Amino acid sequence: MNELGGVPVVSGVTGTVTPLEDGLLERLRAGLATPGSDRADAFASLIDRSLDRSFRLASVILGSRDEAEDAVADASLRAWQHVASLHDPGRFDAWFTRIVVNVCRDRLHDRARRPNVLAVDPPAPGDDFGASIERAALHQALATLTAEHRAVVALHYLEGLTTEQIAAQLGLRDGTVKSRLHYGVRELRAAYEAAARASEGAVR
Amino acid sequence: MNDERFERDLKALLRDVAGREAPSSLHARVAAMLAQPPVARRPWLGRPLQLSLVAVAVVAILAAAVFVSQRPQVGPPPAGSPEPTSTIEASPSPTTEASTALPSASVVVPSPNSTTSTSTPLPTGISGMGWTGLSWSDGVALPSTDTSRLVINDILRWGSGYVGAGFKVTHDPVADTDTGIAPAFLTSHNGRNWTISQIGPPRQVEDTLDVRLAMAGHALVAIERDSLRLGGAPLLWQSDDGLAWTPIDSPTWRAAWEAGGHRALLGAVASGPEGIVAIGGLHADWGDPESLPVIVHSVDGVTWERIAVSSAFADAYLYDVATSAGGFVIVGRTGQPDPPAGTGAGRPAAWVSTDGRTWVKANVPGDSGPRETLADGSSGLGPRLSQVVAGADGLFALGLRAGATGTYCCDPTSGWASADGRTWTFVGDLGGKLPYVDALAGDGSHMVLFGHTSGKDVAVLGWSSTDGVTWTRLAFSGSTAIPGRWNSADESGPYVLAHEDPVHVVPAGLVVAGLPSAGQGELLWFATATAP
Repeated sequence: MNELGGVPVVSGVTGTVTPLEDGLLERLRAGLATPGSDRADAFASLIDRSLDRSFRLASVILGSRDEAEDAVADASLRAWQHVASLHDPGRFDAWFTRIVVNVCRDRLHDRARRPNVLAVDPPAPGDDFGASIERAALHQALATLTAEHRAVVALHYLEGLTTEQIAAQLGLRDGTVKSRLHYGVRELRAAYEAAARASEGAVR
Repeated sequence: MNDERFERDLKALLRDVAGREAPSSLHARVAAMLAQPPVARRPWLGRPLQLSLVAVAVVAILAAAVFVSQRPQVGPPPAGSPEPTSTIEASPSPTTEASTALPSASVVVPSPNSTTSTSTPLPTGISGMGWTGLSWSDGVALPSTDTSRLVINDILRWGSGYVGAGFKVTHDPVADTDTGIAPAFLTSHNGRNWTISQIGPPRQVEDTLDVRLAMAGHALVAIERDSLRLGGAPLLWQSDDGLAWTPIDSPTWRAAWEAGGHRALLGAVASGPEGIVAIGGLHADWGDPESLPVIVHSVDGVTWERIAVSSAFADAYLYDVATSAGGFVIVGRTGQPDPPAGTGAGRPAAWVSTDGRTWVKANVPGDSGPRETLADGSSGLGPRLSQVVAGADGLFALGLRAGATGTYCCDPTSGWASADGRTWTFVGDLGGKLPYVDALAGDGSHMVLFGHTSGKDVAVLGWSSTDGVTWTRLAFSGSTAIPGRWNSADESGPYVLAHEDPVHVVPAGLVVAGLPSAGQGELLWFATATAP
């Protein structure tokens, strides 16, 4: 008997991407099947819905909005070059998410020899001193996670996807997503708590 | 440390890092790109490499044609059945030495063409003969290329051999993305060498396909558990010999999964002498406010009955089902759904049935862990029972407590045991020895439990039991590739058994399907059990 992880979640229902309506789905499917302007229009409709989320995801993985823009542009090109293999526009979001993550991972590998430290934002208005220290520690810890861990953390905490939705988006086993989320959060939490303790000590 | 504060700060940080919207310049770049016709190659792909890829593709096509032409006939597939594929035997991984086959004394070559093959009764096992060690062999590669790979989800002992089910994934190496997925059926006379008997029609690539096997009298039933399918019941297949599989259009099966306008989803399947029981339901995680347990029973795998759940299933969430000598056991929990970022608020629960149709709630005590205080001030009991397996002398259920991430994962686990499924005993928290449980499996005779230690450089450990109460730490020998140490931080190193890999207990030991490391093709690993 194997762990089936309880009963699974339907992707896209509670996430930030609204499911395509049936009529629109059919028009897009027909458009993708037709080389030329119809395909370009269908692709534009699909990617337009995914750009914001993909940009946010890439920003978290890469730690840079500028580089995220380049990465999503690269991913868009890659998707456009292979869009003929996508027969069901209802699957575009997951398909494109995987391409974005792959592109980001490649970029991280390319710059593996360079420091990978995210800039620390100034304290947000209303934050006390301790909170900003903790936030900074969290920020630094985020930069130490792998691309795979950052992707899962971002999709869960930023986009509100469940682990099963993330598994479907990234083509992973649910257990793998849970494991990555667990280890990622554990690292972040350890840094956060250490900063909190240091902050409390400084105040005293 | 305040969970809410940590989560609030984490979300705020992510929002700060990510921003809200893609910049207009990105939209402009994409629009400009679309003004150009799509080019089906990567810009950096040089001509020599392109030619090499074309040559490889031509060779692959020719090789495939040779395979097809040489395919031994195993009997004509039924009309309308999906296209059969070439027969491919698993070959030793090129990176490892040939492994030792499972002892032939315990497995006999099946006669797949025999129409009189009888279904295998549940193994009775030998009381008190628990395992003390596992001798691992090196992994055997399942058929895999740059453009396709095979994954086995389930293995069922059938006649004197084995039947496997899973899926075949086609992969676009250029886009580095999967392009198709199709159910796959395999047979093996020894659990080591597998032959693809049939590949079903392709499904949508993003579907998370999971094929489960069950026995229905003299026939086999396969159920595609598709986590994304919205428009219909899980797909059914039937086979008389494990070689030729036919899709079944069962109105009673379809109707069983339609639940008050919602679509219930399949969670687990078990089969025994009294037929097949499939469980599932709506779940709070899907946005539904109430639990709606679904139990479906069939004797022949074709005609199904949705069992009317009694008050014994009030507020119930079902997670797993198993067969034992006494019939069927379902485990899960009762109580309110877990808060999104909190710990478990339900209580462990189990139900038993001798025939799969009439169910009685079992007596399951709470665990000894800390009690959560719910929003209304009451106390929750925490863990749910997420898995159940049967041994020769009893049943064992694994309890999982939700962690800080709001998911049932990776947090201290606990166990319950029962001799008959009706009365359960809390046997303790496993967290002291085994912080992270990865796999639990049983075949009605032996039960095995695998998990890994905490830290970044983790070690995989295993235990065996026949009654669920007394567990013996397994001594590992043989191949050192499994269960190797696994670096949880960068996911390097072998992590078979550390990622919920399917573990199948067979009379001689174990068959495990898993990845030697991230990104590699699936291998089958074998362990021969030793007893005192």
